[in-house]
Amino acid sequence: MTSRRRTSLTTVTLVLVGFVLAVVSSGTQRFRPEEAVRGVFGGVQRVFSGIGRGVGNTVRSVGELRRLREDYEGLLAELEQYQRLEGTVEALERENARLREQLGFAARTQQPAVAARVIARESATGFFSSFTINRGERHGVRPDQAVIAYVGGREGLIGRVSEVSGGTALVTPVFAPGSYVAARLERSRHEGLLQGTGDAGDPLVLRYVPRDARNEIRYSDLVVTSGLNSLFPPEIPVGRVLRVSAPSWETSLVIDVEPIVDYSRLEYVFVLNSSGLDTGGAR
Amino acid sequence: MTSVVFGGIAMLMAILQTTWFAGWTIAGARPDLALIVITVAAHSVGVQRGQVTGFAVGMVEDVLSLSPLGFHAVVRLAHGAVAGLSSGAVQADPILTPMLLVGLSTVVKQIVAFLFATILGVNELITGVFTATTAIELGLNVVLAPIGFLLLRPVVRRLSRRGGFS
Repeated sequence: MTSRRRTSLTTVTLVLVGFVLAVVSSGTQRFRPEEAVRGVFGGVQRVFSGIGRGVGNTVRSVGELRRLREDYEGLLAELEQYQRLEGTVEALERENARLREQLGFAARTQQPAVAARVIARESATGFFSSFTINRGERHGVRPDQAVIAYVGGREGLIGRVSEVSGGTALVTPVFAPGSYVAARLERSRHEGLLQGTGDAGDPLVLRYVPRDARNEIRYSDLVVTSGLNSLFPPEIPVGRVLRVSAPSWETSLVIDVEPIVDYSRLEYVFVLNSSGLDTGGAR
Repeated sequence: MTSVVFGGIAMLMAILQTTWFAGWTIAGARPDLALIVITVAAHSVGVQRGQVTGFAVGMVEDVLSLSPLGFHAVVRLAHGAVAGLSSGAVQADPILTPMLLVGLSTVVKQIVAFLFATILGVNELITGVFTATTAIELGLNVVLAPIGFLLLRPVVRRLSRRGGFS
């Protein structure tokens, strides 16, 4: 240590001592040792308190984090539940809309009808076209009654009841090979016999329409039931004209008719109570 | 016992085919799951029990569909009997044997249905027993055959342990 620095240190020390002595001797009591001690310890306390608070906060934060995680997981589960519920609600709303549509159609239809749901389709081997509905003899369904449906805003003939048991009935669709429907072209009023081809995706065939009617028939003309000598009430839409041909070996036109109802979307049908109709005709 | 168990499973398959799986089609064709079950049963227990199983399942199908009573019974009996001929005669292979047996059963089913419908004059039968749709069905049955055999193997083992085959 140089003598200059030593001198400075001595000066400072002395000034401080002098100052302290001056304060003590002045009697103003601005300086109190216990306050200084308290201040020092207070500072230490603040430091420790701060550290303690920090540690405590950290520990609490860990606990808080755990709780938050549990809450988060609980909320996620709840959210998942709500999402599932939302899906269910949406499905119910869609079903409700479909049922309302069916209900509206049931109210509009002029004949008494039994609403039914399709519960099975075709035979397991696929050899026979049919579908089963969940209404049978107990609900007033009888053999040979007409079955119609309302799908995608369009009503159309589906088939006829073939066999009935207590709670179910088997329906032969119009596209089945052995199915015949007395039909007419709605616009030109020409009559014919509509025959199924066996496949729901294939068009039906309208036969026995006179050859000279060819120029009166247009693409997309509506084909409806004629109600003449038929099981089916008149004016039920069946399909639309897809193409017209006049093979030389046929005495009449052969008209391909696209079914108006999409059978793959069939869910609900109506069995018409057609008692009183002439049921002695073509099947 | 075997006929009862496999008959039950095949009937269940037949019902599922017309309900849950009714819309599961490829170009209008769907696999005949009941046929696969009957083929497994017949291959395991022989002609006699195989055809009994087929007949019972066919009778239920007749009741559930618009076919004349006995139509499906005879068709199922026929392909069950043919599959039963392989019992003990064909070396069991996990893939080829099931495919061949189920393929053969499907062809027999189509032929017998065609003959039977022709003899009886059943005009409600969907036209064209031998069509592209039936070819696709044959393909689907053949592809699913090893899976069917694999899934039903525990049933076969359990029944053979319990003396169900005796």
